[in-house]
Amino acid sequence: MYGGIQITQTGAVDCCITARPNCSLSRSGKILVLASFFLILSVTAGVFAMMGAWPILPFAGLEMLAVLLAFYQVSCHERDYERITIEGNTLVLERRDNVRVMRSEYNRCWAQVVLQCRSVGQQCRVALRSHGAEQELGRHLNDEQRTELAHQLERRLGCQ
Amino acid sequence: MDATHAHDHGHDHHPSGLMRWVKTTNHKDIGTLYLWFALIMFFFAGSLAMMIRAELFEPGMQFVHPEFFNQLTTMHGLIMIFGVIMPAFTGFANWQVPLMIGAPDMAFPRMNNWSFWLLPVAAIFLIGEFFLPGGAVAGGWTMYPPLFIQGGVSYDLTIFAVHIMGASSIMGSINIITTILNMRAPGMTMMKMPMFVWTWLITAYLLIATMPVLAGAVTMLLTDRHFGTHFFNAAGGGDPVMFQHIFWFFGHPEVYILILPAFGIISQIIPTFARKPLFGYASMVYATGSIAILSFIVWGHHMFTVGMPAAGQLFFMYSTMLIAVPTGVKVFNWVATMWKGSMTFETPMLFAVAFVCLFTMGGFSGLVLAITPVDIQLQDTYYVVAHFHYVLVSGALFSIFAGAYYWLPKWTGHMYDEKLGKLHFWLSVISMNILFFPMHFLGLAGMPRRVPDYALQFTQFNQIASIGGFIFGASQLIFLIVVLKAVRGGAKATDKVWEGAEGLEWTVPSPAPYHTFETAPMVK
Ligand code: HEM
Ligand SMILES: [Cu+2]
Repeated sequence: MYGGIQITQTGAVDCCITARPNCSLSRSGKILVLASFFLILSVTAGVFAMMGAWPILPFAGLEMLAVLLAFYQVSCHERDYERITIEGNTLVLERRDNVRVMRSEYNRCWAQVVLQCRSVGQQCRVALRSHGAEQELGRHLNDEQRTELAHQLERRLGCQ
Repeated sequence: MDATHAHDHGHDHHPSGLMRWVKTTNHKDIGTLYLWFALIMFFFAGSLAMMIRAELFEPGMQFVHPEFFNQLTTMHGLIMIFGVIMPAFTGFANWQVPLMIGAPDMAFPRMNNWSFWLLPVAAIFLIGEFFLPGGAVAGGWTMYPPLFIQGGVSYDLTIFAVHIMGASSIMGSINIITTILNMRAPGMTMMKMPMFVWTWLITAYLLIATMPVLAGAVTMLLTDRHFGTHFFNAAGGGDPVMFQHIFWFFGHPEVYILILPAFGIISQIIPTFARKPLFGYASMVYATGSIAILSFIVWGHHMFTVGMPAAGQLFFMYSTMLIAVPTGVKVFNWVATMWKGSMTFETPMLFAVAFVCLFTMGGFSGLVLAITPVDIQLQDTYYVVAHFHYVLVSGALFSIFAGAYYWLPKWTGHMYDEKLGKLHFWLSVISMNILFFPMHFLGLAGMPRRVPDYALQFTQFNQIASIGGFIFGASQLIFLIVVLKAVRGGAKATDKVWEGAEGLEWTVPSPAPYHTFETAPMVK
């Protein structure tokens, strides 16, 4: 799936910006990785258990559980996205986080972009600010893409 | 390294000061934390080594008691492995893996914070043992019973610390694996990943495969100590040799956990300064994979003298020798990369070239030890100490230095002091050889390892080694100065710090003027 920011221009000044995470692991890849862990861990822990060293088994089980949980988390967030639609004087921020879909509306004239970087170009945070409240943006993006997102938004905000 | 920006119209929502570091979930912050932790532990474990070398300067007992000497060697080994080399590599992974694959962060940022903060806790347990009645553990980093079943309360603390560090490693590995597999930028296929990313993927695999074995082993030590089980306690029908099998089934892959990321770092640096792509990329990937697989079937070479059937000895001898084949492929490829390249020798490259030469020597002494009848003579002598210090100091540690100099400008935005870097390199490489090379002779002549006193005929070589050791120790202060200077300022680093550097991390600004990017980057 395409990751990063995608900009669809819907008019001279109106547009739609979508940010998605990169998900490079395929379904079969996931199964392969999990199966290989399961195989390695069960064989080694099993052989040691047969030699009488059974306390390795519960640790192997716990770890397998942790790996499963991690992969489950990853699958849950595969379809996450953030979408900003700017039309006329409204800006709509729509974000999907696992099963939750959140939507908020802003006035294009009043919304501001905030970009903060801890050191120049590094560890940047982008947020949309209006009425003293902030919504963080670009959680699926890296620093340069966040900077780019802030830049793009900035160009499109303000009263038209 | 202060913050923010022209576009910051209001207040800063980042936690600042100390809390910023405690709560951070940012891969770069966490990478920095890991690296500073490793550096601090390096100086601590290093000062233990200085005490060891001071005591061994002359035969007889001068400075420490034999019991304390054993505590020194045990703690030096444990901390160097679990507190220095592994955290330093994890720091590199945190910093570089997301940058190199174009990901925004690690897959589980909050877990990342946890995996780091477990480490100082474990370190406090370990170091705190020195202040307990009876002192720190003195049973060797390999934790063999029956000694480890009989010791005092510090042995329990060590078991606890090993559990904590293991949990930290597992969380870190899961994070690294999911990040690498799932968060690569569009276009970055597996066979386009930088070698450093590949080696860490395989290392994380090794960690996940072996950590439950270590956790189980130390848990059995604990239950033998306190809950009346007899896994390893011969008095109750247990088998101490079984501990050795279990430990080394973890322990041998562990030594590759300590060297594979080093291979990755070197494979990034040599092409940069030879201004040629890495020779035989695919074969490098397959060689790394084969080394990882083979590392699971050679553990017996640490136990040739425990009484093993001849067939077992032969199996472990040949399988161990087999590892030299993929290792040789890697060394060949590094040399072929340099062959007819237009090389320059900045500090990272100097350390990388020293790595290739000296690590190869460590590999060769490993091959010598792999020959069963030879090992029966040499095991538990200084020859083994020489072997593993050549692979761990001029291998793992030098690669860490190489990588630190290589990426320091990217991390700090400032160039490091090249003159001081070169001084650090030359002092380190010369003193390292003065320190460890004579140990081959000491071992061949029969000086046992882990002893505070020795027979008169070993004096000269020990004195040479100790002098080398003191120079080596002092030289590391130069590294600290170089790092501090680069953090605090210096010539501005460009995006692509090194002329021959390739890869996504060099398209990211080192100091980034705002509004540089008009379009988002993509991997071709
Ligand atoms: C060609 C590659 C290698 C071969 C053939 C090899 C072989 C061996 C053998 C046979 C021993 C056992 C010696 C004894 O105790 O009598 C040994 C010990 C050791 N090796 Fe290697 N080795 C190789 C590479 C490495 C690497 C890459 C590392 C780590 C980065 C490493 C770290 C160690 C350590 C730490 C010990 C000592 C463990 C202890 O008793 O405390 N070796 N090696
Ligand atoms: Cu080994």
